[in-house]
Amino acid sequence: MEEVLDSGLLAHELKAPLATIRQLGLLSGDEAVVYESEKALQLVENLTLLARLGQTELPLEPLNPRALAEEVTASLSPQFSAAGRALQLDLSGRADLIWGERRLVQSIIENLARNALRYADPAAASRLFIKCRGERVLIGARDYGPRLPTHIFRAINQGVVPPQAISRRPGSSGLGLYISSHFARAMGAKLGARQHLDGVSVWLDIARSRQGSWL
Amino acid sequence: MKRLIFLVDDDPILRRAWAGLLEQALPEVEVVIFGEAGSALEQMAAEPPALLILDLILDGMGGISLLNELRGDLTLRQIPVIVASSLADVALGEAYGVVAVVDKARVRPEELVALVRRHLDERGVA
Repeated sequence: MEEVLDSGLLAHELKAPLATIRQLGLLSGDEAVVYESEKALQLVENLTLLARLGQTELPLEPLNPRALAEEVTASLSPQFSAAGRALQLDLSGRADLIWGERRLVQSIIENLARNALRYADPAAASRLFIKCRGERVLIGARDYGPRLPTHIFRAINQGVVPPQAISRRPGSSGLGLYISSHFARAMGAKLGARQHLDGVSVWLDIARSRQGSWL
Repeated sequence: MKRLIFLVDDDPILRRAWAGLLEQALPEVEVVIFGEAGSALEQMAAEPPALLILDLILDGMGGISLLNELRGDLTLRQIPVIVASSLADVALGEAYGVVAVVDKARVRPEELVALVRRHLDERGVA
């Protein structure tokens, strides 16, 4: 009989030492340790969520994308500041409610923002944006770093990103975009990307909720 | 006389770090650390602490088993329990009547101290 590894137990085994490292970082005030351990914790949690996708029905609900983007901006701003960079939240447009699962949407926004932090040009602020396009809402990050390789750019726009290193963005395993693309698909959403002369925009393209809007 | 806090966690680095944090921030308390739940339960029967901070996944007797033991004892069930686990689950906390559930990875030191202080205050500790 095939034995199935319990993803909850595996997650605990992976999270326990990371929790200790993060606590030691918090106690010593070492922001770099806190940030890196948080990133690793997020990855473990996302892989656990990914392993469980499809096992139960996702609890989709109306979500306020502005509030989620504000939470991500607030949580990552210290890391942007520590790296001498800035993350701005563009709230100029309408921000309709979206129809999604909170943890998955938040994880995707965080991943896009972390990518911007890692690759953005320090001279220009990265930007989280929300745009309404008919029945769809785009929530994304615009950075001013190196352009994406063509095959990754195409893969994002075709729906599922392969888990492979992104050659023009050193240090990238591509895992974050791979996980995000699966999270998006699980909610009936998708990722999208646009190359600019001076950077990249990557976004979550998700259905607008039919239960009203904020502002 | 100092009030006792029992801290049960199988990670020796974390339990030492948190014990140091709490004793420094709250001079009125003494933190007694345990690596497993069985010996904590034995000690509790002899000398009930003012507060228990409990991880869930432990070697030997698990945190849930310990909570069940406490619930079945008229004296020990009065001890306020803070669950601190990387498997933090508020619904589980409510089911077992614990006073708080914190994510062991993410709770900030000042939040932990404030939480402990609040529940000690509610138990009449100055």
